[in-house]
Amino acid sequence: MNPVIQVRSLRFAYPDGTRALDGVDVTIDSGESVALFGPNGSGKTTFVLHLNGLLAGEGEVRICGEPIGKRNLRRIRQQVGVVFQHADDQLFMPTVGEDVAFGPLNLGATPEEAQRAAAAALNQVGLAGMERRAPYHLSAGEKRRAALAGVLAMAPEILVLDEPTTALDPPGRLALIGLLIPLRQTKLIVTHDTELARHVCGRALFFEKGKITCDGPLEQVIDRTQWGSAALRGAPA
Amino acid sequence: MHLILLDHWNDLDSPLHRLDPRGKILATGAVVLFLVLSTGGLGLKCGGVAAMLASMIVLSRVPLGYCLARACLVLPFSGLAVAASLAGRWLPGAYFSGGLSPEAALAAVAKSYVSALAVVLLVATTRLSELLRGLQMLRVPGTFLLIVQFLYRYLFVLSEEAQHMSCARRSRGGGNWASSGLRAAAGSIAVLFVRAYARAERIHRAMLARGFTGALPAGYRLRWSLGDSTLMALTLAFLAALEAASLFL
Repeated sequence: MNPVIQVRSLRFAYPDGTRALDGVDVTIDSGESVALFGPNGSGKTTFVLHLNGLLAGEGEVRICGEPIGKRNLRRIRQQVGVVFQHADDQLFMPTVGEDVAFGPLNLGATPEEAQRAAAAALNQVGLAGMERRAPYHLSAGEKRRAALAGVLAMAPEILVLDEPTTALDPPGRLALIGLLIPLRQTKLIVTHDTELARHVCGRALFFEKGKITCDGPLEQVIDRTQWGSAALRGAPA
Repeated sequence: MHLILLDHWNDLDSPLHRLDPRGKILATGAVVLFLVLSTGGLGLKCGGVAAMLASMIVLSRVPLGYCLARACLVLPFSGLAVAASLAGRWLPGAYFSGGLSPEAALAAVAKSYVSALAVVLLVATTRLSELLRGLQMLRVPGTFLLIVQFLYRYLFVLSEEAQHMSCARRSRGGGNWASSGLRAAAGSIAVLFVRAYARAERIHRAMLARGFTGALPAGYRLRWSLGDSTLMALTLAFLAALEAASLFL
Protein backbone atom coordinates (compact mmCIF):
# COMPACT_ATOMS: atom_id res chain seq x y z
CA MET A 1 0.00 0.00 0.00
CA ASN A 2 1.54 3.26 -1.15
CA PRO A 3 -0.89 6.17 -0.79
CA VAL A 4 -0.42 8.86 -3.47
CA ILE A 5 -3.46 10.97 -2.53
CA GLN A 6 -4.42 11.63 1.08
CA VAL A 7 -7.25 14.06 1.76
CA ARG A 8 -8.41 14.94 5.28
CA SER A 9 -11.44 17.05 6.28
CA LEU A 10 -11.42 19.01 3.02
CA ARG A 11 -13.94 21.85 2.95
CA PHE A 12 -14.43 24.47 0.28
CA ALA A 13 -16.96 27.21 -0.42
CA TYR A 14 -17.09 29.35 -3.57
CA PRO A 15 -17.01 33.16 -3.16
CA ASP A 16 -20.82 33.32 -3.58
CA GLY A 17 -21.17 31.16 -0.45
CA THR A 18 -22.00 27.86 -2.18
CA ARG A 19 -20.47 25.10 -0.08
CA ALA A 20 -19.04 22.67 -2.63
CA LEU A 21 -17.04 20.39 -0.31
CA ASP A 22 -18.13 19.68 3.21
CA GLY A 23 -15.55 17.42 4.85
CA VAL A 24 -14.02 15.03 2.34
CA ASP A 25 -11.76 12.24 3.62
CA VAL A 26 -10.18 9.77 1.23
CA THR A 27 -6.93 7.92 0.56
CA ILE A 28 -6.00 6.59 -2.87
CA ASP A 29 -3.13 4.19 -3.43
CA SER A 30 -0.62 4.16 -6.25
CA GLY A 31 -1.91 2.40 -9.38
CA GLU A 32 -5.59 2.50 -8.37
CA SER A 33 -8.22 3.53 -10.91
CA VAL A 34 -11.10 5.28 -9.18
CA ALA A 35 -14.39 6.50 -10.64
CA LEU A 36 -16.00 9.58 -9.07
CA PHE A 37 -19.79 9.38 -9.34
CA GLY A 38 -22.49 11.66 -8.05
CA PRO A 39 -25.19 14.11 -9.11
CA ASN A 40 -24.34 17.36 -10.89
CA GLY A 41 -23.13 19.94 -8.39
CA SER A 42 -22.17 17.34 -5.79
CA GLY A 43 -18.54 18.54 -5.62
CA LYS A 44 -16.68 16.03 -7.83
CA THR A 45 -14.96 18.59 -10.08
CA THR A 46 -14.28 20.93 -7.18
CA PHE A 47 -12.61 18.01 -5.39
CA VAL A 48 -10.28 17.13 -8.27
CA LEU A 49 -9.30 20.78 -8.74
CA HIS A 50 -7.85 20.63 -5.22
CA LEU A 51 -5.53 17.80 -6.20
CA ASN A 52 -3.14 20.00 -8.15
CA GLY A 53 -3.65 23.21 -6.22
CA LEU A 54 -6.01 24.96 -8.65
CA LEU A 55 -8.33 25.44 -5.68
CA ALA A 56 -7.31 25.56 -2.05
CA GLY A 57 -9.87 24.85 0.67
CA GLU A 58 -9.64 24.12 4.39
CA GLY A 59 -8.24 20.75 5.42
CA GLU A 60 -5.29 18.78 4.18
CA VAL A 61 -4.40 17.46 0.73
CA ARG A 62 -1.19 15.42 0.38
CA ILE A 63 0.17 14.28 -2.97
CA CYS A 64 2.81 11.52 -2.77
CA GLY A 65 3.11 12.31 0.94
CA GLU A 66 3.67 16.06 0.51
CA PRO A 67 1.14 18.72 1.48
CA ILE A 68 0.34 21.12 -1.39
CA GLY A 69 1.87 24.56 -0.97
CA LYS A 70 3.17 27.42 -3.08
CA ARG A 71 6.70 26.06 -2.72
CA ASN A 72 5.99 22.74 -4.42
CA LEU A 73 3.13 23.76 -6.72
CA ARG A 74 5.18 23.29 -9.88
CA ARG A 75 6.12 19.72 -8.92
CA ILE A 76 2.56 18.93 -7.82
CA ARG A 77 1.22 20.09 -11.19
CA GLN A 78 3.70 17.83 -12.90
CA GLN A 79 2.65 14.90 -10.69
CA VAL A 80 -1.10 15.42 -11.08
CA GLY A 81 -2.20 15.81 -14.70
CA VAL A 82 -5.75 17.06 -15.20
CA VAL A 83 -7.66 16.53 -18.45
CA PHE A 84 -10.56 18.97 -18.36
CA GLN A 85 -14.12 18.38 -19.49
CA HIS A 86 -14.02 20.69 -22.52
CA ALA A 87 -11.10 19.77 -24.76
CA ASP A 88 -11.34 23.12 -26.58
CA ASP A 89 -10.45 24.88 -23.33
CA GLN A 90 -7.34 22.78 -22.95
CA LEU A 91 -6.05 23.08 -26.52
CA PHE A 92 -5.17 26.76 -26.51
CA MET A 93 -1.98 26.81 -28.60
CA PRO A 94 -2.03 27.39 -32.39
CA THR A 95 -0.97 23.81 -33.27
CA VAL A 96 -1.38 20.40 -31.66
CA GLY A 97 2.39 19.89 -31.35
CA GLU A 98 2.89 23.23 -29.59
CA ASP A 99 -0.01 22.52 -27.28
CA VAL A 100 1.32 19.13 -26.21
CA ALA A 101 4.80 20.63 -25.74
CA PHE A 102 3.40 23.47 -23.58
CA GLY A 103 3.57 21.51 -20.30
CA PRO A 104 7.12 20.14 -20.71
CA LEU A 105 8.38 23.61 -21.69
CA ASN A 106 6.83 25.10 -18.55
CA LEU A 107 8.60 22.40 -16.54
CA GLY A 108 11.94 23.59 -17.90
CA ALA A 109 12.50 21.24 -20.86
CA THR A 110 14.48 22.57 -23.84
CA PRO A 111 12.52 23.03 -27.09
CA GLU A 112 14.08 19.82 -28.48
CA GLU A 113 13.21 17.79 -25.35
CA ALA A 114 9.68 19.20 -25.35
CA GLN A 115 9.22 18.31 -29.01
CA ARG A 116 10.42 14.76 -28.35
CA ALA A 117 8.06 14.43 -25.36
CA ALA A 118 5.19 15.81 -27.47
CA ALA A 119 5.88 13.39 -30.33
CA ALA A 120 6.01 10.43 -27.90
CA ALA A 121 2.76 11.47 -26.17
CA LEU A 122 0.96 11.99 -29.49
CA ASN A 123 2.17 8.57 -30.60
CA GLN A 124 0.85 7.07 -27.35
CA VAL A 125 -2.65 8.44 -27.99
CA GLY A 126 -2.65 7.48 -31.68
CA LEU A 127 -2.14 10.97 -33.10
CA ALA A 128 1.39 10.52 -34.43
CA GLY A 129 2.27 13.03 -37.14
CA MET A 130 -0.45 15.52 -36.21
CA GLU A 131 1.94 18.01 -34.62
CA ARG A 132 1.31 20.72 -37.22
CA ARG A 133 -2.48 20.41 -37.28
CA ALA A 134 -4.53 23.28 -35.86
CA PRO A 135 -6.79 22.18 -32.96
CA TYR A 136 -9.92 23.46 -34.73
CA HIS A 137 -9.27 20.98 -37.54
CA LEU A 138 -9.59 17.98 -35.16
CA SER A 139 -12.69 15.89 -34.49
CA ALA A 140 -14.13 15.73 -30.95
CA GLY A 141 -12.40 12.39 -30.31
CA GLU A 142 -9.07 13.65 -31.64
CA LYS A 143 -9.34 16.78 -29.51
CA ARG A 144 -9.93 14.64 -26.45
CA ARG A 145 -6.89 12.47 -27.24
CA ALA A 146 -4.74 15.55 -27.97
CA ALA A 147 -5.76 16.99 -24.59
CA LEU A 148 -4.76 13.70 -22.95
CA ALA A 149 -1.43 13.79 -24.80
CA GLY A 150 -0.82 17.30 -23.43
CA VAL A 151 -1.01 15.86 -19.93
CA LEU A 152 0.86 12.60 -20.65
CA ALA A 153 3.77 14.63 -22.07
CA MET A 154 4.37 15.91 -18.52
CA ALA A 155 4.81 12.31 -17.29
CA PRO A 156 2.36 12.61 -14.37
CA GLU A 157 2.00 9.97 -11.67
CA ILE A 158 -1.68 10.71 -11.20
CA LEU A 159 -4.11 11.23 -14.05
CA VAL A 160 -7.38 13.05 -13.42
CA LEU A 161 -10.02 13.01 -16.17
CA ASP A 162 -13.13 15.17 -15.88
CA GLU A 163 -16.04 13.74 -17.89
CA PRO A 164 -13.74 12.27 -20.56
CA THR A 165 -16.54 10.80 -22.72
CA THR A 166 -18.57 14.01 -23.05
CA ALA A 167 -19.47 14.66 -26.72
CA LEU A 168 -17.82 11.45 -27.92
CA ASP A 169 -19.59 9.10 -30.32
CA PRO A 170 -19.52 5.33 -29.49
CA PRO A 171 -16.37 4.59 -31.56
CA GLY A 172 -14.62 7.60 -30.00
CA ARG A 173 -15.69 6.42 -26.55
CA LEU A 174 -14.43 2.92 -27.26
CA ALA A 175 -11.09 4.28 -28.53
CA LEU A 176 -10.71 6.35 -25.37
CA ILE A 177 -11.45 3.35 -23.14
CA GLY A 178 -8.82 1.36 -25.05
CA LEU A 179 -6.38 4.17 -24.48
CA LEU A 180 -7.03 4.52 -20.74
CA ILE A 181 -6.86 0.84 -19.72
CA PRO A 182 -3.12 0.30 -20.34
CA LEU A 183 -2.01 3.61 -18.75
CA ARG A 184 0.06 2.79 -15.68
CA GLN A 185 -0.78 6.00 -13.79
CA THR A 186 -3.13 6.23 -10.82
CA LYS A 187 -6.40 7.35 -12.41
CA LEU A 188 -9.30 9.39 -11.07
CA ILE A 189 -12.20 9.67 -13.50
CA VAL A 190 -15.09 12.03 -12.88
CA THR A 191 -17.90 10.52 -14.92
CA HIS A 192 -21.57 9.68 -15.30
CA ASP A 193 -20.59 6.93 -17.74
CA THR A 194 -20.82 3.71 -15.72
CA GLU A 195 -19.75 1.59 -18.72
CA LEU A 196 -16.50 3.53 -19.03
CA ALA A 197 -15.98 3.13 -15.28
CA ARG A 198 -16.64 -0.64 -15.48
CA HIS A 199 -13.93 -0.99 -18.13
CA VAL A 200 -11.29 1.18 -16.48
CA CYS A 201 -11.92 1.44 -12.71
CA GLY A 202 -11.95 -1.02 -9.83
CA ARG A 203 -13.08 1.40 -7.14
CA ALA A 204 -15.66 4.18 -6.96
CA LEU A 205 -16.41 7.18 -4.75
CA PHE A 206 -19.93 8.56 -4.61
CA PHE A 207 -20.30 12.28 -3.93
CA GLU A 208 -23.43 13.89 -2.50
CA LYS A 209 -23.72 17.48 -1.27
CA GLY A 210 -19.96 17.91 -0.98
CA LYS A 211 -19.32 14.65 0.88
CA ILE A 212 -18.25 11.14 -0.07
CA THR A 213 -21.26 9.06 0.95
CA CYS A 214 -20.11 5.77 -0.50
CA ASP A 215 -16.63 4.37 -1.16
CA GLY A 216 -15.78 0.84 -2.26
CA PRO A 217 -15.53 -1.61 -5.15
CA LEU A 218 -17.19 -0.17 -8.25
CA GLU A 219 -20.10 -2.60 -8.60
CA GLN A 220 -20.91 -2.34 -4.91
CA VAL A 221 -21.05 1.45 -5.10
CA ILE A 222 -23.26 1.33 -8.21
CA ASP A 223 -25.63 -1.13 -6.48
CA ARG A 224 -25.76 0.68 -3.16
CA THR A 225 -26.34 4.12 -4.68
CA GLN A 226 -28.67 2.86 -7.48
CA TRP A 227 -26.44 4.83 -9.89
CA GLY A 228 -26.20 4.29 -13.65
CA SER A 229 -28.81 2.25 -15.47
CA ALA A 230 -30.39 1.23 -12.16
CA ALA A 231 -31.38 4.87 -11.68
CA LEU A 232 -33.50 4.68 -14.85
CA ARG A 233 -35.65 1.76 -13.65
CA GLY A 234 -38.19 4.15 -12.23
CA ALA A 235 -38.49 6.08 -15.48
CA PRO A 236 -41.90 6.10 -17.23
CA ALA A 237 -42.21 3.35 -19.89
CA MET B 1 -19.92 25.66 -40.36
CA HIS B 2 -18.15 28.24 -42.49
CA LEU B 3 -14.76 29.15 -41.16
CA ILE B 4 -12.31 31.65 -42.57
CA LEU B 5 -9.06 29.75 -42.68
CA LEU B 6 -6.22 32.20 -42.21
CA ASP B 7 -3.42 29.65 -42.37
CA HIS B 8 -4.34 28.04 -45.66
CA TRP B 9 -1.05 28.78 -47.44
CA ASN B 10 1.33 28.40 -44.48
CA ASP B 11 2.31 24.84 -45.32
CA LEU B 12 3.68 25.53 -48.80
CA ASP B 13 7.39 25.03 -49.27
CA SER B 14 9.11 28.06 -50.82
CA PRO B 15 12.22 30.14 -50.10
CA LEU B 16 10.00 32.77 -48.44
CA HIS B 17 8.25 30.19 -46.23
CA ARG B 18 11.63 28.90 -45.03
CA LEU B 19 12.96 32.30 -43.93
CA ASP B 20 13.26 33.38 -40.29
CA PRO B 21 10.09 35.24 -39.26
CA ARG B 22 12.14 38.12 -37.85
CA GLY B 23 13.57 38.93 -41.28
CA LYS B 24 10.12 38.88 -42.87
CA ILE B 25 8.62 41.03 -40.09
CA LEU B 26 11.42 43.60 -40.35
CA ALA B 27 11.23 43.69 -44.17
CA THR B 28 7.43 44.14 -44.02
CA GLY B 29 7.86 46.87 -41.39
CA ALA B 30 10.38 48.64 -43.64
CA VAL B 31 8.00 48.52 -46.62
CA VAL B 32 5.06 49.88 -44.60
CA LEU B 33 7.20 52.61 -43.01
CA PHE B 34 8.57 53.60 -46.41
CA LEU B 35 5.07 53.97 -47.84
CA VAL B 36 3.71 55.82 -44.81
CA LEU B 37 6.56 58.35 -44.76
CA SER B 38 6.67 58.91 -48.54
CA THR B 39 5.32 62.22 -49.80
CA GLY B 40 6.44 62.70 -53.43
CA GLY B 41 6.49 60.38 -56.44
CA LEU B 42 3.85 58.16 -54.92
CA GLY B 43 2.81 56.61 -58.23
CA LEU B 44 6.32 55.32 -58.81
CA LYS B 45 6.82 54.25 -55.19
CA CYS B 46 3.51 52.44 -54.80
CA GLY B 47 3.86 50.84 -58.22
CA GLY B 48 7.45 49.81 -57.54
CA VAL B 49 6.67 48.30 -54.14
CA ALA B 50 3.57 46.55 -55.55
CA ALA B 51 5.72 45.04 -58.35
CA MET B 52 8.30 43.87 -55.80
CA LEU B 53 5.58 42.30 -53.64
CA ALA B 54 3.97 40.65 -56.68
CA SER B 55 7.29 39.03 -57.62
CA MET B 56 7.70 37.80 -54.03
CA ILE B 57 4.17 36.41 -54.03
CA VAL B 58 4.97 34.48 -57.23
CA LEU B 59 8.20 33.23 -55.60
CA SER B 60 6.24 32.11 -52.51
CA ARG B 61 3.76 30.11 -54.69
CA VAL B 62 0.81 31.69 -52.85
CA PRO B 63 -1.84 32.54 -55.49
CA LEU B 64 -1.52 36.18 -56.53
CA GLY B 65 -5.29 36.57 -56.85
CA TYR B 66 -5.75 35.44 -53.23
CA CYS B 67 -3.30 38.07 -51.95
CA LEU B 68 -4.74 40.86 -54.12
CA ALA B 69 -8.28 40.03 -52.98
CA ARG B 70 -7.32 39.67 -49.31
CA ALA B 71 -5.56 43.06 -49.32
CA CYS B 72 -8.87 44.65 -50.40
CA LEU B 73 -10.06 44.17 -46.80
CA VAL B 74 -8.31 47.42 -45.94
CA LEU B 75 -10.13 49.47 -48.57
CA PRO B 76 -13.38 50.14 -46.66
CA PHE B 77 -11.38 51.60 -43.78
CA SER B 78 -8.98 53.75 -45.79
CA GLY B 79 -11.82 54.62 -48.18
CA LEU B 80 -13.95 55.90 -45.30
CA ALA B 81 -11.11 58.03 -43.94
CA VAL B 82 -10.45 59.46 -47.40
CA ALA B 83 -14.17 60.11 -48.02
CA ALA B 84 -14.40 62.02 -44.73
CA SER B 85 -11.38 64.07 -45.69
CA LEU B 86 -12.77 64.84 -49.15
CA ALA B 87 -16.06 65.84 -47.56
CA GLY B 88 -14.16 68.36 -45.42
CA ARG B 89 -12.76 69.90 -48.59
CA TRP B 90 -15.90 70.02 -50.70
CA LEU B 91 -18.90 70.35 -48.43
CA PRO B 92 -19.62 73.88 -47.21
CA GLY B 93 -19.70 74.13 -43.41
CA ALA B 94 -18.59 70.51 -42.97
CA TYR B 95 -17.27 69.38 -39.63
CA PHE B 96 -13.90 68.32 -41.08
CA SER B 97 -11.73 71.04 -42.55
CA GLY B 98 -8.44 71.13 -44.41
CA GLY B 99 -9.14 67.88 -46.28
CA LEU B 100 -6.95 66.05 -48.83
CA SER B 101 -6.76 66.90 -52.50
CA PRO B 102 -8.21 64.19 -54.78
CA GLU B 103 -4.65 63.15 -55.79
CA ALA B 104 -3.51 62.86 -52.17
CA ALA B 105 -6.67 60.92 -51.32
CA LEU B 106 -6.00 58.46 -54.12
CA ALA B 107 -2.39 58.13 -52.96
CA ALA B 108 -3.54 57.42 -49.39
CA VAL B 109 -5.81 54.61 -50.62
CA ALA B 110 -2.98 53.20 -52.77
CA LYS B 111 -0.53 53.34 -49.85
CA SER B 112 -2.93 51.50 -47.55
CA TYR B 113 -3.64 48.84 -50.18
CA VAL B 114 0.03 48.14 -50.95
CA SER B 115 0.86 48.08 -47.21
CA ALA B 116 -1.95 45.57 -46.67
CA LEU B 117 -0.56 43.48 -49.56
CA ALA B 118 2.80 43.32 -47.75
CA VAL B 119 1.11 42.19 -44.54
CA VAL B 120 -0.95 39.55 -46.40
CA LEU B 121 2.25 38.16 -47.91
CA LEU B 122 3.86 38.02 -44.46
CA VAL B 123 0.87 36.22 -42.91
CA ALA B 124 0.48 33.82 -45.85
CA THR B 125 4.12 32.71 -45.69
CA THR B 126 4.56 32.54 -41.89
CA ARG B 127 2.81 30.24 -39.44
CA LEU B 128 1.18 32.12 -36.59
CA SER B 129 3.38 30.46 -33.97
CA GLU B 130 6.52 31.49 -35.90
CA LEU B 131 5.15 34.99 -36.34
CA LEU B 132 4.49 35.29 -32.61
CA ARG B 133 7.90 33.86 -31.77
CA GLY B 134 9.53 36.35 -34.15
CA LEU B 135 7.60 39.25 -32.60
CA GLN B 136 8.51 37.98 -29.13
CA MET B 137 12.20 38.03 -30.05
CA LEU B 138 11.76 41.54 -31.46
CA ARG B 139 10.65 42.59 -27.95
CA VAL B 140 6.92 42.99 -28.62
CA PRO B 141 5.14 42.81 -25.20
CA GLY B 142 4.17 39.24 -24.25
CA THR B 143 0.67 40.20 -23.11
CA PHE B 144 -0.12 41.62 -26.54
CA LEU B 145 1.13 38.41 -28.18
CA LEU B 146 -0.98 36.27 -25.85
CA ILE B 147 -4.05 38.31 -26.79
CA VAL B 148 -3.30 37.83 -30.51
CA GLN B 149 -2.76 34.09 -30.04
CA PHE B 150 -5.99 33.56 -28.12
CA LEU B 151 -7.94 35.77 -30.51
CA TYR B 152 -6.75 33.61 -33.40
CA ARG B 153 -7.35 30.31 -31.58
CA TYR B 154 -10.81 31.10 -30.22
CA LEU B 155 -12.17 33.27 -33.03
CA PHE B 156 -13.43 30.10 -34.70
CA VAL B 157 -14.82 28.61 -31.49
CA LEU B 158 -16.74 31.80 -30.67
CA SER B 159 -17.89 32.18 -34.26
CA GLU B 160 -19.29 28.62 -34.09
CA GLU B 161 -21.04 29.46 -30.82
CA ALA B 162 -22.57 32.54 -32.43
CA GLN B 163 -23.75 30.39 -35.35
CA HIS B 164 -25.29 27.84 -32.93
CA MET B 165 -27.14 30.64 -31.14
CA SER B 166 -28.35 32.03 -34.44
CA CYS B 167 -29.54 28.52 -35.46
CA ALA B 168 -31.37 28.08 -32.14
CA ARG B 169 -33.11 31.43 -32.53
CA ARG B 170 -34.17 30.74 -36.12
CA SER B 171 -35.37 27.22 -35.27
CA ARG B 172 -37.78 28.76 -32.76
CA GLY B 173 -39.23 31.15 -35.32
CA GLY B 174 -36.84 34.06 -34.85
CA GLY B 175 -35.39 35.80 -37.90
CA ASN B 176 -31.78 36.70 -38.49
CA TRP B 177 -30.14 39.36 -36.35
CA ALA B 178 -31.01 42.15 -38.75
CA SER B 179 -34.73 41.32 -38.81
CA SER B 180 -34.98 40.49 -35.09
CA GLY B 181 -33.99 44.00 -34.19
CA LEU B 182 -31.26 45.61 -32.18
CA ARG B 183 -32.57 44.31 -28.85
CA ALA B 184 -32.27 40.65 -29.89
CA ALA B 185 -28.84 41.24 -31.40
CA ALA B 186 -27.65 43.00 -28.25
CA GLY B 187 -28.97 40.11 -26.11
CA SER B 188 -27.11 37.56 -28.23
CA ILE B 189 -23.89 39.55 -28.08
CA ALA B 190 -24.20 39.85 -24.29
CA VAL B 191 -24.70 36.08 -23.94
CA LEU B 192 -21.71 35.47 -26.22
CA PHE B 193 -19.60 37.81 -24.11
CA VAL B 194 -20.54 36.03 -20.87
CA ARG B 195 -19.75 32.65 -22.45
CA ALA B 196 -16.40 33.97 -23.72
CA TYR B 197 -15.62 35.24 -20.22
CA ALA B 198 -16.46 31.88 -18.62
CA ARG B 199 -14.37 30.12 -21.25
CA ALA B 200 -11.43 32.44 -20.53
CA GLU B 201 -11.61 31.38 -16.86
CA ARG B 202 -11.53 27.70 -17.83
CA ILE B 203 -8.65 28.20 -20.26
CA HIS B 204 -6.63 30.01 -17.61
CA ARG B 205 -7.26 27.15 -15.22
CA ALA B 206 -6.13 24.62 -17.86
CA MET B 207 -2.96 26.66 -18.44
CA LEU B 208 -2.16 26.81 -14.73
CA ALA B 209 -2.70 23.05 -14.48
CA ARG B 210 0.14 22.59 -16.97
CA GLY B 211 2.58 24.84 -15.16
CA PHE B 212 1.88 28.23 -16.81
CA THR B 213 3.66 31.01 -14.93
CA GLY B 214 2.57 34.07 -16.90
CA ALA B 215 4.79 33.95 -20.00
CA LEU B 216 4.51 31.75 -23.06
CA PRO B 217 7.44 29.33 -23.21
CA ALA B 218 9.61 29.40 -26.32
CA GLY B 219 8.67 26.29 -28.29
CA TYR B 220 11.59 26.31 -30.73
CA ARG B 221 14.74 28.18 -31.62
CA LEU B 222 14.90 30.63 -34.52
CA ARG B 223 17.99 30.76 -36.71
CA TRP B 224 18.95 33.86 -38.69
CA SER B 225 20.51 32.73 -41.97
CA LEU B 226 22.19 34.30 -44.96
CA GLY B 227 18.82 34.22 -46.73
CA ASP B 228 17.31 36.48 -44.07
CA SER B 229 20.14 39.00 -44.36
CA THR B 230 19.78 38.90 -48.15
CA LEU B 231 16.04 39.56 -47.94
CA MET B 232 16.60 42.54 -45.64
CA ALA B 233 19.42 43.93 -47.79
CA LEU B 234 17.50 43.55 -51.07
CA THR B 235 14.35 45.11 -49.62
CA LEU B 236 16.21 48.11 -48.21
CA ALA B 237 18.26 48.55 -51.41
CA PHE B 238 15.10 48.42 -53.53
CA LEU B 239 13.34 50.99 -51.33
CA ALA B 240 16.40 53.27 -51.44
CA ALA B 241 16.50 52.95 -55.24
CA LEU B 242 12.82 53.89 -55.46
CA GLU B 243 13.40 56.93 -53.27
CA ALA B 244 16.37 57.99 -55.42
CA ALA B 245 14.44 57.45 -58.65
CA SER B 246 11.53 59.52 -57.39
CA LEU B 247 13.91 62.44 -56.74
CA PHE B 248 15.22 62.43 -60.29
CA LEU B 249 12.01 61.71 -62.23
